[in-house]
Amino acid sequence: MDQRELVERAMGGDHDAFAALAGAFVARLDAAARLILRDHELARDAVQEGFLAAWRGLPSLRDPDRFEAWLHRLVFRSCINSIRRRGRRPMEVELLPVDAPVVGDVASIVADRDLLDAALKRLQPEQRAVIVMHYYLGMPLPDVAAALGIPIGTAKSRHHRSLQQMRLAIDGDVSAGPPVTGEQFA
Amino acid sequence: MSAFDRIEQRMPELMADLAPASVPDYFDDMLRQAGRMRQRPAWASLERWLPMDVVARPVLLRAPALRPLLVLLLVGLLVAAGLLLFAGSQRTRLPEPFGLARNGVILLGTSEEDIVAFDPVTGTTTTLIGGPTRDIAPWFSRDGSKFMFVRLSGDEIGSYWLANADGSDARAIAAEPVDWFEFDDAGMRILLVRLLDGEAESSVVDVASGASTVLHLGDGARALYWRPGHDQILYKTSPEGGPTDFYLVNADGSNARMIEGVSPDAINDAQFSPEAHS
Repeated sequence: MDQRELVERAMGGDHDAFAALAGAFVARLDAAARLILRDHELARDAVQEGFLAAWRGLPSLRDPDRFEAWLHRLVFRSCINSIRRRGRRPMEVELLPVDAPVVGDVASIVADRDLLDAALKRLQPEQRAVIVMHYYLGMPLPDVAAALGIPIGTAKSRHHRSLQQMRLAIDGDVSAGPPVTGEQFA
Repeated sequence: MSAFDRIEQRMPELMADLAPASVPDYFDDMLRQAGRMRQRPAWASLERWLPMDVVARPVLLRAPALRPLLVLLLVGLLVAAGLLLFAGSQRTRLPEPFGLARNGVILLGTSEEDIVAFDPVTGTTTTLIGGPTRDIAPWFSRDGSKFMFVRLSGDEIGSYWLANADGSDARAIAAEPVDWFEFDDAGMRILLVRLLDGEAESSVVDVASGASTVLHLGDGARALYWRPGHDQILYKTSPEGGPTDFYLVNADGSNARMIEGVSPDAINDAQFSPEAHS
């Protein structure tokens, strides 16, 4: 059964179809929420809230082929709401330890991962959302903007500023980086 | 290649390392919880049933005779074709701000952290903001008469600056952290949202004087737009767990009022059409 058929059945109230759909997306969305919120409890709540909103609202979904984008929007909207409920206080927790085997230069990978972790910590959650959705989930910036409910200019701005801050955190000196182009921000 | 360049190339796999994707332990509970919840019926969504209601409206009157209607339609089409021909033969001036397209300069940030203008017609590059300051990310106003840019302070984003299109009269407009900004159509005012102690503060900055008027719209207002042709601002709020509401407020912060009838499911940004003058 293809995804469209599953979505159509779930729209008609088929709970098993919804379970199959949820199972296909929950792992990556849970990981993305943890990267954005850096708090397992908040991420769990946000993902659950997003999926439950999806179940409730499925009958009103107009285009079954847009289910994935729609689900992303609901989950990331929950993440952003969660940030606002939290009052935008710094939220810093350790992410899960790596239990997957690494190949190649293990020391280099671990060192880079730690540098990335430290750089992500320096970003605001809204900035992390853009970076995680773009790089981890592979979403184009217009889709990121739509999912977060911000103009594309703001998504580009946050993307640009986030990379700038991450470069500063990792390299320590922005002048060591490549030329800064006329990136827009709104 | 710097460490950041290396990491940026491997960002997806490093993120996967940081937060491995696996089905979370709350998944079954979540599904059980969903199973206990009723789905919201499709008709509860305004966006769905409104068009359907129009389509499915019952016919209350007997259908009129077909021939007179066809004659009327034919006459109407002939008149419309005549009007189109007439309109097409007239020279019309395009409405402001859209005139004939001109070749313009392209603003760029350089590796020396200067702002330059590149003219694609002549191929020349002119430094607009140079010197020892570290300036990045230029952004034109809508009328092209000014541009904003960021001046770094040490290793951090320091402040937002404004300059005329030729680089003259550069002056600071706001300090970090700025979360949102938008020029008005004339490039005379800038909407700014700053995050002060984590709370959003909206303000209108007068470009000429640098004076700032705080709007007191609350922390929820983080995306604001000018209403074309009016001294008004559109903004939205997303109350905790509630639907997104859209408001209009005067540019001086007075008379904020909610726009009724927006779909409760709306979360993306509203945009006025350029014709929104009425």
